[in-house]
Amino acid sequence: MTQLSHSDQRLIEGIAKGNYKILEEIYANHSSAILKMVKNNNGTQEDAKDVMQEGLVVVFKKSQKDGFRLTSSFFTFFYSVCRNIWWRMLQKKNNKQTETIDKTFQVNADIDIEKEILARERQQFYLKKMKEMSAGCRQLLELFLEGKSMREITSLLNFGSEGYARKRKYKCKQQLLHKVKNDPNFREFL
Amino acid sequence: MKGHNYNDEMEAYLSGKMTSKEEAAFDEIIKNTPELAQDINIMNEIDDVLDNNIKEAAFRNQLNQLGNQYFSENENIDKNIPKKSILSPKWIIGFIAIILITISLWWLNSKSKTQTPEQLFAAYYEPYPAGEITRGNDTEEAYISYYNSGKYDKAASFLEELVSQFPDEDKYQIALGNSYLNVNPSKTVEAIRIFEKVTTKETVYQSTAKWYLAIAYLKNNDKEKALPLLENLAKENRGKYPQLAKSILEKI
Repeated sequence: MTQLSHSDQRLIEGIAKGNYKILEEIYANHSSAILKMVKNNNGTQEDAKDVMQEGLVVVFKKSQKDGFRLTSSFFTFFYSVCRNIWWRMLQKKNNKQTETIDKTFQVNADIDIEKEILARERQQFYLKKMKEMSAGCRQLLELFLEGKSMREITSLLNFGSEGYARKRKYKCKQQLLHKVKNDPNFREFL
Repeated sequence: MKGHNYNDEMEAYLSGKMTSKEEAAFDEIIKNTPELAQDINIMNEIDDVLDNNIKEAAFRNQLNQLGNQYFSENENIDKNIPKKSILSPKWIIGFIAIILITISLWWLNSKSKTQTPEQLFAAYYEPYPAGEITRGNDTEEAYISYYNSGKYDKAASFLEELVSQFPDEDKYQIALGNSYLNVNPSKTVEAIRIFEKVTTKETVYQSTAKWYLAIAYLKNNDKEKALPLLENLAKENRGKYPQLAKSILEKI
């Protein structure tokens, strides 16, 4: 297993904390490689910007999980994440285009990365399905998305007690679970 | 899962209401029931979305700014470096040097511009989402429809009506202030007046009003007034605004 360098560790910690200077350093050092990879594989500058952003969100989410550790250099790992993301985006745009994606910098298929990317896509899908929920549940879950506490929501929606608010939240999550599972498109995120 | 409905057990399991013995037994059932395991996983992922949306939004906000900055810069480099040149190496070096100096100056210039209050406003401002229809009257429906379609001048006229009918409904005040921020610049002062009023009340909209007041000050190029509000918001420990305030303070 590759020893994680101090500098790579610093980058991961910076991403986990959302440190602007570290993020700027990553953009300064790696955006051109991501742009090149995307442009060489049927993408545009705008696609590259999205890929880099999604890639960093994946690393951000991973870095907050217990036990996360790099098994390669930061660049190798990050490039692999971005490459996988672009692969998924291309698949959605047009299956045929994926045949031409280059194999440069391809590292061993990291199941963990693929799982994380799919988890991210599922989360975006949940947000999309929330918009299709009944008005009451949508309003309740949107308040949680805005970061309001159970107490604030109880008072805002006149729920009477926090226990009742908790019960309503669970029922709404169940409603969302059914909507998600009954959508045939959900299969592509599994 | 076809033979048994695990709804009650799942609720108890996810709310931490099971004893450790019950939990261990249910863990065993989950292990042997793939559909139940998938449901539990989805419920946990929904919780993750609900709990971490704010943190992720603040993170994405930073990435968006950096993306705009670095990818447009890369595009310039890409376009300006000729692939095949008929010029001599000396000319090429000189040409590249001029391009690099121009790009560096442009980059420094655009970087310093992102520090100005108006640039920060452009980078951080997002309209407060229109609420649900709660009163079910035509005025409310009309404002929501115009507001959601970006026709803020029309939304403002309906909101002015709602604010005069329901002066204590802060959500209308917040929406009206936001509408004013999106019409002509002369209305910014009115937006400031509205947000100032809401910040004085201890309601669930107080932090929201503080954030939009700070943002309105930035739009008005009034950094001095925005700073203490942002510092105050940064000290709060709930909601999305502390992260956003901290992020602005790093760049202001």
